[in-house]
Amino acid sequence: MATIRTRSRGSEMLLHLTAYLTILVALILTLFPVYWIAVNSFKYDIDIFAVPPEWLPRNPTLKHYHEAFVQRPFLRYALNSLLVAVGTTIISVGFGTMAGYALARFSYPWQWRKQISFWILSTRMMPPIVSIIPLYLFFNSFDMLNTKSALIIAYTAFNLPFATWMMKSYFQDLPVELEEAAIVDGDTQWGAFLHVALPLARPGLAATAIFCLIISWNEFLLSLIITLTEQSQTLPIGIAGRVTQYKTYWGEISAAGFMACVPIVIFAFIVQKHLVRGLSLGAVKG
Amino acid sequence: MASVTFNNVSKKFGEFVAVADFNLEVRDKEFLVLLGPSGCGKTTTMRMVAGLEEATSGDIYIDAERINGVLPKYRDVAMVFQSYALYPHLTVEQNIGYPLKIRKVPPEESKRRVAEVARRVELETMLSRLPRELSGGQRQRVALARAIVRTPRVFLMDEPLSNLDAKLRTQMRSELKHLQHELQVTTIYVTHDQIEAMTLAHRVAVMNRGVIEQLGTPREIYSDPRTLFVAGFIGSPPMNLIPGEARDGIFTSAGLRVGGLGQASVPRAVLGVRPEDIHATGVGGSDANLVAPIYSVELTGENTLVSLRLGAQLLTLRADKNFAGQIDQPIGIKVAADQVFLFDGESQRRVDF
Amino acid sequence: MLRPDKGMPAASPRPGGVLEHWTERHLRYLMLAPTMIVLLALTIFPSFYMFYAAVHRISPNPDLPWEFVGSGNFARLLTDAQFHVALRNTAVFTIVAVTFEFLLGLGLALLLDRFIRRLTFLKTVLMIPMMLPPIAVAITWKIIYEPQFGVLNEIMFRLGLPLQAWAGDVNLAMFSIIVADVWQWTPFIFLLMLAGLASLPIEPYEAAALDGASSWRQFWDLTLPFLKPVIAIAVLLRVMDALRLFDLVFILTGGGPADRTKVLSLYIYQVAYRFADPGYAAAISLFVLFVTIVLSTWFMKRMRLAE
Repeated sequence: MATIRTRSRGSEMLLHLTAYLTILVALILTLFPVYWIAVNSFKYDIDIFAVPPEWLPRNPTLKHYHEAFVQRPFLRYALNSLLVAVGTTIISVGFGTMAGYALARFSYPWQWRKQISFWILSTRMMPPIVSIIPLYLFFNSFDMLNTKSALIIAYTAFNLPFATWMMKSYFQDLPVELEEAAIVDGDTQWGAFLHVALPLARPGLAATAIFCLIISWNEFLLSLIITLTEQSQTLPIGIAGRVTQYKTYWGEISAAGFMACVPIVIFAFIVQKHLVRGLSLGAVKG
Repeated sequence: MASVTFNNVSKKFGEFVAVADFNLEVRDKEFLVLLGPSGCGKTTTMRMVAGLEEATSGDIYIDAERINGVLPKYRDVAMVFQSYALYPHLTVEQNIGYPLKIRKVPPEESKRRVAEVARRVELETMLSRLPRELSGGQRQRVALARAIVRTPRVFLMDEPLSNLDAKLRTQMRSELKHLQHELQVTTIYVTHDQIEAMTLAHRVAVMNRGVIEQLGTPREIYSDPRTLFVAGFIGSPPMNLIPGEARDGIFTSAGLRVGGLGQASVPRAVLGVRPEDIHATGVGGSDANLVAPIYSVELTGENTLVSLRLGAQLLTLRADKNFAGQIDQPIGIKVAADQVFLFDGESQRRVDF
Repeated sequence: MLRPDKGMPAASPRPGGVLEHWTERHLRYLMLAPTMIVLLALTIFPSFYMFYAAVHRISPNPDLPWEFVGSGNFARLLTDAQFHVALRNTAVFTIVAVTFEFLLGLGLALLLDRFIRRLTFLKTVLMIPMMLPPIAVAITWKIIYEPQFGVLNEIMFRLGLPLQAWAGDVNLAMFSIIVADVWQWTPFIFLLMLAGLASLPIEPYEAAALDGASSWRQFWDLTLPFLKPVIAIAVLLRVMDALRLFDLVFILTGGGPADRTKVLSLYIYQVAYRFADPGYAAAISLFVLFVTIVLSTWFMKRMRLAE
């Protein structure tokens, strides 16, 4: 905090100590659950159930990875997740970039710009459960249940508003004179968007795409309702399917869960500079 | 190569009238400066020529071609922006060559022209750099090079020098003037800086509230201001404008009395006199128009600016740099009647006498 | 020297083709159109369809026609005890979880801002929980809460405290869900507050310090008002997310025990798919949609952040 204060040496040291201790505790609390699922995925079942718990696996094994990805169709689930995430991202970022640019740059009659922006934002606020029933009935009547296309369509409903708002905020950061210069230099409005605005918004574009990938990869509820078989089921559904009323396959879901987390952690580091903006739908620049 | 004509052009943003019933002909090869305070509509006028704004009503022509509604790319004008608007992701070479690339000029031809222009603005060693690696002055020259690389019909310049420091600005000013003379391209130049306007322009259009107050050569604008606004806007320090009353050729205002104004009678008159046309005289001299104590003395280097209190306002005169008066010391001043202007306070226009 | 070059392809005297003109003139609509069409199809259409569904009794047998029941499904909202439980649980969860996340996130940001500002890597590590798939978070906490071999009971045992069933305990189930959610989402508030703090101007603090304002006063008079827009956005987004809680509950408790963690999303899911009554589920959904719209509009109006 940008406070200017005078404090005695002693209390300044106490503050430092408190702060670094807090950071340490926060790190442990943050990382322990992730560590724990990773560790469990490398243990034999008997060691998972050990009391007291084994903090480090005494007999590390890849057994559960074999079970999940070779014997059971988790590779298939992961592939489905990936395909759906990529498809959703391409549509959302493609359309969202154009719409975001339009809302950042053009004026519309009767304050449409504000109205449309707000409307698009409000569709993002809608709880997924609310639109899932009509979507379910809709997909059902078109025989699209249990298809990846249905998932992509459903996910687009939530990623497109996000991508639009993100790109709008990135385009608003660019000085409009650059595109005006391009227009006077002989380009069309569309050309100025393509040749000037788009290349300059590339970091934002990449960040938006990664956020869309993450959101789609993590999604659970829509997939739970739309998909039925491993033909289209995504990774989260596969994991949830191994938590049954009678038995929970701890090792298997730990392995699959950990593998589901790995790409996300990598992505998180790639977009770290854009995290604030992404999480606040472009509202806080960060 | 091209003239630009405005016929009754107006531009409204909602209720706000930015440009009102604007008429002007910019002649072929002319350097015309639109001068005025911010918000006077000068930039809007220029942007309408570029095609970045569309006129609400009226017609704009380049030569005989009416350009209302013509896409900017077909207008063949070039513009230098106040912020330079260099493409940050392109090198200097690509920046300068962008207009050629858009026009599908063959690469070798484009390269040749870019090199030629770069040499002209002394950037030939900078071609592979990115704009962020350049100094302010260099960026300015890239913007200029991008405008001249394709010899457009009209140059538009929107305060191109305002982001430079004072020394560089003076230098670039003469560069610009020379360049325009050399290229012989019709130029419309927008600025709020009267020195730029006076030094660069063939003709100056002084704008205020969306209309032209006066159009003329720099000399006319300075020595023959037609309205109160022009009189007050041009000159540094500005002309003294003293409200008062004129009757039968004699102007009076709180202690000041200036005769010899022909037969002029204006009930709400404003007398305009430039600081250099007021002379300090001895206190005792009977020919002084006014005797008053000195309010402030400011040495500028080449002159001394001396202010006196006249009623509620200050009267400034330009005295010799060796002027020795002190604050509160009374002095007399003499106003030459043939150097003053009389304005009608009602109509804001000059009254000839 | 530079002379007008006759070899240059001069701009054509007459403006380009009709198509080019039309495209340029309508670009603002053309660029917006795909998004508008998709969103209309995927949100407005479903809303109407849902209203249509809500006034019918829909049989699980697709061959049977829908039976018009008018406001019948809405009337059931008033008397359905399960619905009231779900409503109460959702409200409790939202209020408690978001309050904790907010206080914790803001407190941490205020305490750590000076120390963590340059530790970008560390900051990103602390952000990991909220990026993770909620399902992975849910199973992680399921292992931790496991009554027999879970880590939490091990800690309780070491501390000499009574062992608990956690997510399986009637009194602790909601608490367990909230803890997992706080774990996952406190970093979100923390990160946004850090961003807000980083954008604070320094001069007012210098002025306040010269005026002799205490740190506490500075916090109330400067920091909090400056942070208000960021706080508003952060809390709004958290509340909206909390209202749609599903994954954690689905895996950790399944809504039990004794309906203690049955939240609205889960109840709608159960009504639609387990009880096979999509008409009634649509009515509940409309209610949730209504609440969401009212809440977010009120919030945005109050905080003036529509744009």
